[in-house]
Amino acid sequence: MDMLQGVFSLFADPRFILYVLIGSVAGLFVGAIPGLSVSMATALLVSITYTWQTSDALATVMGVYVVGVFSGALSAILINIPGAPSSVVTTLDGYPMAKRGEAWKALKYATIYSFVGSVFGLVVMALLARPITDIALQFQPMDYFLLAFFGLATVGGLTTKSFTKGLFSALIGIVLSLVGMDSVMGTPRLTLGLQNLKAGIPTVPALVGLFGFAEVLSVVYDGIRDGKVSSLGQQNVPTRTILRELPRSLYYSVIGTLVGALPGAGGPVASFLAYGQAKKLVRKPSRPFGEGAYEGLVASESANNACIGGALIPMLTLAIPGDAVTAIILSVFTIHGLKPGPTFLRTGAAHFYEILAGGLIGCVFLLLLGLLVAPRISRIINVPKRILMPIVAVLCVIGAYACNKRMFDVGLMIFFGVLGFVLRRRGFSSAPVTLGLVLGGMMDSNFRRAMSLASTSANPLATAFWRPITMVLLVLTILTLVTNTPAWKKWRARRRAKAAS
Amino acid sequence: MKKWLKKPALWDGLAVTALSLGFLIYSIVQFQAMQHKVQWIMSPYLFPMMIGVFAVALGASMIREGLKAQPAAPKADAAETGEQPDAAAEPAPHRSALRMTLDALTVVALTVLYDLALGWIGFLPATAVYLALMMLFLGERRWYVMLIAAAATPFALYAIFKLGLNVRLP
Repeated sequence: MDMLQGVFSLFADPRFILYVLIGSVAGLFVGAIPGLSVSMATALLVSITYTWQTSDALATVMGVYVVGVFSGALSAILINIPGAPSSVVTTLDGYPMAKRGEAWKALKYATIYSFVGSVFGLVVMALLARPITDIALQFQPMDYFLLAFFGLATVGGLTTKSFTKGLFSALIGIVLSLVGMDSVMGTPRLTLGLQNLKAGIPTVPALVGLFGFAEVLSVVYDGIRDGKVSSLGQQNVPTRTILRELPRSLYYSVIGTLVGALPGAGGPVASFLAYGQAKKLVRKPSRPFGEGAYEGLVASESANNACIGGALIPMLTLAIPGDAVTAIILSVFTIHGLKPGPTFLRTGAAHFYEILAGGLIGCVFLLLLGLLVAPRISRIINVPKRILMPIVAVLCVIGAYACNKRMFDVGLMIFFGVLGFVLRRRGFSSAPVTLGLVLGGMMDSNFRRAMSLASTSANPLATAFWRPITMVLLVLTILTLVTNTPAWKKWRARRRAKAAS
Repeated sequence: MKKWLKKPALWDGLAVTALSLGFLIYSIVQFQAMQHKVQWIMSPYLFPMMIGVFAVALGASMIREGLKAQPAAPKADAAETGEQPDAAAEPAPHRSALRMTLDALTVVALTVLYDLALGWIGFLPATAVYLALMMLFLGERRWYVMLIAAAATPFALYAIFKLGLNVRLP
């Protein structure tokens, strides 16, 4: 009841709605223009919103997040280049529809089912946050360590083709998070004698570099390519079709929310899984999948938007981000002095309502902007990259500088940009680095606290691991590591081949 | 030896192992140096040491994967591989790997110079020059587009960030 009251009071707050609208409009352009990403925009926003009131910052960030994830579909449909990684699957059927002259229709399907997915994910978040918080209150330091480790192992397995590369990316993030004053002993660590690194590596320049400047370098490296926009003619989508697809859309949203809640998974994985399910579920699609079936669009858009609510669940209740964007949102919290985790619903209930209300209002703007504005901005998404990329680079410099007002941070941003670029070129990924960077400090302090507790007891192993939650997390972590080893994969392949023969 | 050179996964593994070994050795040395000051379980270098061991194991696994991998074949035509060309995007002009790397390095160098110039000549002129140079480098040849973008963008950014959002600019 408190939650409903708290959320709906924000629905009547014009200032709050205005900030969500600003974020939503920014999200629409950022998500739609290939080369700009939601992660990049959120990272830049962290530094811009640094001096703002917390509620204004959260409203803007939620607007960008909700509409930005959806608007990746615009360029996927119109120019066959996904605006965000989670829209890759949308290109499979969206672009063939556009080529057939059904771009407007495809945009409507994407908008409506993105709305369904986003609302579903956020409602699930509202319903599950408290029960998960109750469980999280029983967590001990070792549980936090194992949960973060499990998250990094999962993200390592899902974000790159090679598990070892994904896991190594996460380790890079952890090592970078350890730079600075050791929180337990108060001694400098891994600072290379640099005075500026004693306070640690600031998250914002690192994130802006990894997602913003690295993207500029990648675009320059790959060569400037601009897309050709498909023509748009106004078309209607029958209400009967919308209602008929609704139950399936809810099913894909369940997949999206579950995948989103897994630390490190997220939109791309969810949309692939949902698309696979759609192929099995829809026996007679309007057109074959991959050739312009709107049923494929429904699956991918419902699932990737439902991830938003799912990814926010572990971030808010356990302080473990579900994906790169929530890892960045976590730094918005830190900058504004908020502490997500098991006690957040009690100590920061008002901010929880702001996130929920911001997300839901963002969904309304998603629907309005998607149906009314998106078809009319198709020319803008094709801004020549030779003009866009220099401006993005300047925004990266501003974003890196704004938080601490140090030119050293701009240098750090360039360093992280080069690091992110090199990692991408060699098949590593920036997402695990981000999660490692955000979670590393917490892992270190909890691990040492757990070891210290265990060392004082008569049976250290039992003290550290002999609890139901700890055992479950330990088993999950070991399973994730073992099932990703080459030996296990070979054994599975051999078994499958045997079963097939 | 020639076969080895064509295995990028192997080189990745070797680089990861070398970096990890270096980090592990550094952590062990620091751990030893701190031993007389703090109990080993509370040492700030215990966790980095564990990460180092784990990273070396990952590097070794990558070397193993790299040794088993097939040497990289020269890139075949799209028609041969059956890959769908990106119908909507205009094709990027063909450039050598060295040229592509040099292009990216030039952008890094320009940005470092921009970073330094911000301190010398201030935000507005430094940004205008940086934007013009970057656009020229990325292939924009219409002088009026460059002029308008380079002159208007710094003022627009100043108005939005400094005056509108109260964000400190470099």
